[in-house]
Amino acid sequence: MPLKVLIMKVRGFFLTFMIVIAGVFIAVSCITDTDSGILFIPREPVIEPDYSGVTIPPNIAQLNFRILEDGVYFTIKCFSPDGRDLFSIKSKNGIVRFPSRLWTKLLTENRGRSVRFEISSINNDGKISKYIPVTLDISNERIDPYICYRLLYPGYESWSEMQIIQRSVEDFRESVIFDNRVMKNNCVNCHTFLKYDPGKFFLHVRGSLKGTYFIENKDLTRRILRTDNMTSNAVYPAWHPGGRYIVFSSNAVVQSFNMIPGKRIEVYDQTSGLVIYDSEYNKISAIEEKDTTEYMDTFPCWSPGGDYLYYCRTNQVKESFDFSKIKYNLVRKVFDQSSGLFGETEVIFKAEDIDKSVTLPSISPDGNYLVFTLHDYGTFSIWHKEADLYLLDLTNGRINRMTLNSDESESHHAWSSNGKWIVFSSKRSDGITARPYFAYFGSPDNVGKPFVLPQKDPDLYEKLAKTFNRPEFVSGKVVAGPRDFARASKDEPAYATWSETTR
Amino acid sequence: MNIKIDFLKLIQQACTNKEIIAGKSIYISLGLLLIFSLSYFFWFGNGLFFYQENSMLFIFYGEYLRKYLMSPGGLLEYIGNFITQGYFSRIYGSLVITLFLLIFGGLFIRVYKLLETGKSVWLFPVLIPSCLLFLMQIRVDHYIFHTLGYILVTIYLLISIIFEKRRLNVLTLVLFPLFFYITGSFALIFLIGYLSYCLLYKRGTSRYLLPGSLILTSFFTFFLFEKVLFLQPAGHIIRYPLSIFETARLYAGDSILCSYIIFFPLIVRITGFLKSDKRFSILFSQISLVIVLSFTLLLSKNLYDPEFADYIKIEKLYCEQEWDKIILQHEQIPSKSLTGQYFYNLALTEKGQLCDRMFFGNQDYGAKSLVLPRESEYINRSVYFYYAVGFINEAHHLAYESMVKYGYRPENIKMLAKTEIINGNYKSAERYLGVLKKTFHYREWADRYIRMLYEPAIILSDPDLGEKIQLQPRRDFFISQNDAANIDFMLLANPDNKRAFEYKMAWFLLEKDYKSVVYQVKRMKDMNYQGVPRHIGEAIILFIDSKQELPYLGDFAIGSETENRFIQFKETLEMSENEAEFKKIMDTSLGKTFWYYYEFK
Repeated sequence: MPLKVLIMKVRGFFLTFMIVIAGVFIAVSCITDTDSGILFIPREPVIEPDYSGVTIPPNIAQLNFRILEDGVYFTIKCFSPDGRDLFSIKSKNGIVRFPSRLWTKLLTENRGRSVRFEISSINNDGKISKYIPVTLDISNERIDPYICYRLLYPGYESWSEMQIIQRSVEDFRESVIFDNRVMKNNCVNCHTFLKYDPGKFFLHVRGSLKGTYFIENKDLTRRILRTDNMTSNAVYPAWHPGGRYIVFSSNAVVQSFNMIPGKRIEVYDQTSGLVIYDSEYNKISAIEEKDTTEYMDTFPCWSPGGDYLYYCRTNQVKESFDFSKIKYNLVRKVFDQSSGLFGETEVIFKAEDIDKSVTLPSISPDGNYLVFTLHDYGTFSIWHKEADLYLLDLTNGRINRMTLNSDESESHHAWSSNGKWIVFSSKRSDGITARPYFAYFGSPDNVGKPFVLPQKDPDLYEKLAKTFNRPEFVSGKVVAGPRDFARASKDEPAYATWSETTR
Repeated sequence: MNIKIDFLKLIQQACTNKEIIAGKSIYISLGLLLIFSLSYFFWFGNGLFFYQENSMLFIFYGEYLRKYLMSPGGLLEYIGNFITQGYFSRIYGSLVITLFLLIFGGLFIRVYKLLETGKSVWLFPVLIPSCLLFLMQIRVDHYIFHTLGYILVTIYLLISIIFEKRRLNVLTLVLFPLFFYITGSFALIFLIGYLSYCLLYKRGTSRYLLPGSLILTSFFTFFLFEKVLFLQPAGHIIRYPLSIFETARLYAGDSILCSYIIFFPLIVRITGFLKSDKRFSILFSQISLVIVLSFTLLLSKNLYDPEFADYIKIEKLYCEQEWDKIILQHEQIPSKSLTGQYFYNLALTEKGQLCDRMFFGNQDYGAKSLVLPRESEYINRSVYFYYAVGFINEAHHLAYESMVKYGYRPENIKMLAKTEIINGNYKSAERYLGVLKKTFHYREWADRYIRMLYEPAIILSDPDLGEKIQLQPRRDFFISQNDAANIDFMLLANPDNKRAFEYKMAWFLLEKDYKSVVYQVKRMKDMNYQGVPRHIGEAIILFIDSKQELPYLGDFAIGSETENRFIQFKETLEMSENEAEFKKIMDTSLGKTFWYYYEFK
């Protein structure tokens, strides 16, 4: 017998032996322990939302969940890394709600460590099942205490209720910043904060009370950021860290409805260009005139120092264009803050070369990383199932698909003020409604498993048909409320003027 | 002395008799109203039950209640919706409406008795509100919560008068914010009604003190609601659920009833003066009963809209997927409405008989009755065409728009659930089915579809869903505003979609474009047609007759039966002396042809 054949036979025998051993092990581990009457199930219990193995900040609200296993009674025991029994909770319906006091203690005492939850269930016959424990990694890095998002139906053309909500991520308190019920059912979008400051932000209102509302604590001003020189409204913003300038893309947006199963809506631009708004003098200028005719530019984003403006660019579409051939590249321009002038456009990532389209760039506060959304074509990633988040390491130009993605659309994203957390919209739960997910960011190779914004009622996402749009971190509580907007809407708006230069 | 006593006894007896007669009259009139209301809503006006039950969806869910608690008057609508959910049964609906009418009448009798010091009740003023409410109830957009609102206003007026008589006025003021919260803008009817009562029936300082205090309380309540408690615009708080201050928005019935409640104390006062002449009291009471009831009867006949009743009946049958009954209904009692004929064409499509039978029923609107506009009043109905023909994404789109615009309704949620299942979005479908599962009437429907979730083989074997999956486009395209073009896009994206093809042919037929029909016949072989559908055959014969040439029909041929019918049609046309005579003859089977439609429609 040749040696090669002998080796193969031994290998085959060894593999068979290992499979048999593994099978026996699984079978044994599933068999009831006759002494204790406990059935050990060699897997983690299914819980919804899926918080198993996630990395969480030390100031996050309770990760309440529902156990999706058979049973009429459940026990959840929490253990510290050294095996100390921290507390236990009982549940009759599988819904696990952590008491606030215990939860805070758990996070405070176990920062930088892993805790595990042992879940057991009792069925109708009194038989007990135990599962592999669920672990949680508690990070040392805190997260910003609030997020703001737009809450609305993920619909097509019509809207009814539309709100901008601020939600504490440290507990379940939420309050309404903007509510269109007191704004004649107008549409609201693009809430943008200046460097996480809850006292300084703006948003667009479309409709009879139209305008861009600038908020400085409780003072609101209504401005119209459109002049005759612009073909469309000011849409996607990027607030310069200096606070004076805001770059907007001015987009002529079109919406169409796909008829093939699996696709719903395609939103695309017919034209789009960048303009810069000087909030001190209420004037708007074009960033580069030829850009508006040769290219379509959109989704501006400043580098943290304010020296570079990143944005997405594609060629201007012609009449009867094929929307599936629109591919945006990631580009940037240098910006001279003293003169207010921009330099030449520089291509950072030519996505069209790999037949993809880049949208929604955002840069980490330390300026080292840029996250963007990559999808097959076009500009509206939220309706693209294949849309995923990618990380560009600005220090070496390396691009990687992030591990936090799912099979459904990942789109809008934002960095926390310490750069350690990313919040992003994901439709992974049902493919339709976006939910805010958080992921720990240690380095490009150390990204935590994402977890959804915890809710007091763990079933909320199952029931709620509304979508959480454009989640943004905020460092404190916003004091302005819906009635402030209603009051400001009665003021005459200040119309921005057009200026040929930014100076 | 004795004579005097006898005379007094005689007067007392006469008065008692009058009271007995008056009391009997009240029961008779309420009894008549009961019979009349029950009969009307059970046999004639039952369309409103389907309409109203389908315009809302009561969900046994805390979040659903919370939505209504967020607005003054919301609780009233919530209770109304709770009652309305049983409207799928017309017995229940008729009983509920009638019961509320009688309660309303009974309350007015009580208020009348409290206001009028005499013991007998004059029928005329107390019967009018119930009759008015009955007439208003005929209108489909008068919901049971409106009726409840009027009833609560009358109850609060009654309680306030009792409080006032027992010197407990402060309770009226204290309870007013709660009353405002429950009834919303209905509280304002009470406010003005109570002011009119105080001004007419009170003397001294309380005549002004009480109304003044109530006005202050209501202002305080309003500001508390608007500025602190509820995130609702001021206009909404004043107008919801009934905008009594905007007469342009109010229907005549509401305006009259609001005014009637407000001025009821004055009406009672005036009738009190008239009634003092006891000689005519009984006679007048009887006459008024006859007048009010006759007038109500007459008005109810005028308010009844047979066309509406007809298409609501057809729509109900459509929702129940009773295709045969729709076809029979329209062919026996032709619907004159566009929507009725639209549903007839859809029912034929579902039975695969569109081009075989569409001219058996009236087609008065041309191609318009094939597809309804995707806007305003039609949005909830236009969705069915897209669903029937396989534009599942568009059906989903329209159902979603309907949900966003009009809130949860049984049909939009059912459509959303079905379209999500067809598209394989089970998680999303689960959410919609979860909503239906929390309702009283639709939980069984939801159960049926829940069992299909995550089971593609079962879905595919379902006659409705399975067929729709086959009809879906295989290539992508954007829906356009032009539905004729959409049908073409669909046929390009799925050449096997027989329903789209039949709609295309029906479109040509209804546009009298028989040439285009003929040019399309050759495509039918690839669609597994065994023969030429009846009306398409008629169009081919017409083509041959007018062009004097034989078109290329692929493997198909026109049977001699069609030719014979055409000969008979032409002979009848030639023999008839005038159009009227011909039309009369055409009431027979020859009238159910494309030829007849071509000549006379």
